[in-house]
Amino acid sequence: MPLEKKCNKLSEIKSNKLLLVEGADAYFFFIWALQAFGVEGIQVMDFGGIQDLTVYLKTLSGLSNYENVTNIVIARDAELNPDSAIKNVKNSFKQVLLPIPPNPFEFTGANPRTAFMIFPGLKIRLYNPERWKIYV
Amino acid sequence: MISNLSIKGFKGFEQLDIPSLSRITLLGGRNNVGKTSILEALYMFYDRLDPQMILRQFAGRGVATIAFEPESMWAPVFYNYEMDRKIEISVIVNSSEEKMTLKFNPHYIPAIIPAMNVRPGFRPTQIKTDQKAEPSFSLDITYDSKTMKNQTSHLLMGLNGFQLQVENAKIEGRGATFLWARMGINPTEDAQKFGQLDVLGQLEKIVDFLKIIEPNLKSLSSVSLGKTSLIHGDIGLKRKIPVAYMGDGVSRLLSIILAIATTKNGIVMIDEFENGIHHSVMSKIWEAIAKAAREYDCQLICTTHSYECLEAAYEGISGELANDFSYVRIDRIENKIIAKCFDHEMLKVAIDGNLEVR
Repeated sequence: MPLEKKCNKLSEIKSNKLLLVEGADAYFFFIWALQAFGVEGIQVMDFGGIQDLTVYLKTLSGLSNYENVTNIVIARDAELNPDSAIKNVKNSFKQVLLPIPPNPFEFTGANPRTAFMIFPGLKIRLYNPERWKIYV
Repeated sequence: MISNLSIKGFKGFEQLDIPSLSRITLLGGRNNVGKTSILEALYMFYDRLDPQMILRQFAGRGVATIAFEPESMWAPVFYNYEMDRKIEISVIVNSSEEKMTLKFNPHYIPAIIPAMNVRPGFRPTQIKTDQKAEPSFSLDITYDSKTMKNQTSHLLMGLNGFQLQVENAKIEGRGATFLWARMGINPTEDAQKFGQLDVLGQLEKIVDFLKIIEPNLKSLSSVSLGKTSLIHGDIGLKRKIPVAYMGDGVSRLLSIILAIATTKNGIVMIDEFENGIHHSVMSKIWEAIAKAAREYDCQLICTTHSYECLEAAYEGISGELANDFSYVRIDRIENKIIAKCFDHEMLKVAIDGNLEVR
């Protein structure tokens, strides 16, 4: 169950930079990591399970303030197959007509710019959160 | 059933398109984005042969008095109060477009001059040798559909009050009912609808529906009180009592189910659906309404401010009924009003994730 549901708090788009993550663990991890490294202005949102990503992106576009969003980054687990994870994320972007980044950790498009991160697999970048400022 | 609605030049809408209306559509959004105006536009579309088509909107909004002049009575329904613009309301019904256009005409000259009524004993102080038609203010109303082309009527504002001159029009079978948020229940109107259903032997369905909110209800009957009638209910007391005494929720629900059951093949519009209804019974009510809407082939468009109401609609209209429901969030972006549509799947994600979709 997404974290916001457990907290019974309605979630709104409050930043123009969104980091969409899979599940409560990732949600907390990124909130604390961003805070620890002093990265500000990024809103972390929990999109639930990976099977919900496409519908979540569609739903997100119906929320208030979505038109002000400039950057969307998706972070998800590679699970057993990083190639499949990349393919799935790209497919979700495609289905909601968002720009499709060619590779992980690369932004593409405009209004909004999009990117995705697959963990684990890119440990150098994962352990270098300062770079998130650049990416996100 | 209406699948698409387009409104142009009406009230706050320069142009608004709602591309996915369902059998039951819930409209949400912040204050003053035009949720009620959407219902008014659609109701006006169906009410176009009634001289009170504009007046009703003031009454529904609680405006008690208004100056009898176009600037006060008609300008408010035009975008930016600009009466030189046209109002266009179009719907797609079963893949076919129906369109109504309203245009202000300050110099309308009636083609036909009605004969003057002379009361017995009335002696006119002047006798004219000839009579010519005086220009009037008019709202020229045209309507086009696949089966009826170029229907024309004129809503006139003149010395005799409002008049509707119809050049070429006929009344359609599809009806519409509007339940306002502010106007009280009209017991006489409800009693008339109740009578229609009584004749058809359908009162049991109405009682079953109301039992969701009043489990002690055993039966309903219409009681004549002079010139009016009131619906009374038996809830196990020594005598039957008016439904209005059972609380706002029961009265409101009675009006809703009567409207659905007597607007077969038509459309029922409900402003602020949640009024008077406790959240604990809301999902059961939505389920019952969805079933009734199917049974009577009736379409519902309702507004809400309540997340509980939206959540209950999502829960109640599920399973095989899920495709009958959609939610449309009305939003204002840089002074433009737009509609964002949510299907059942998107609502699941929104509600599971506690996303603010109102």
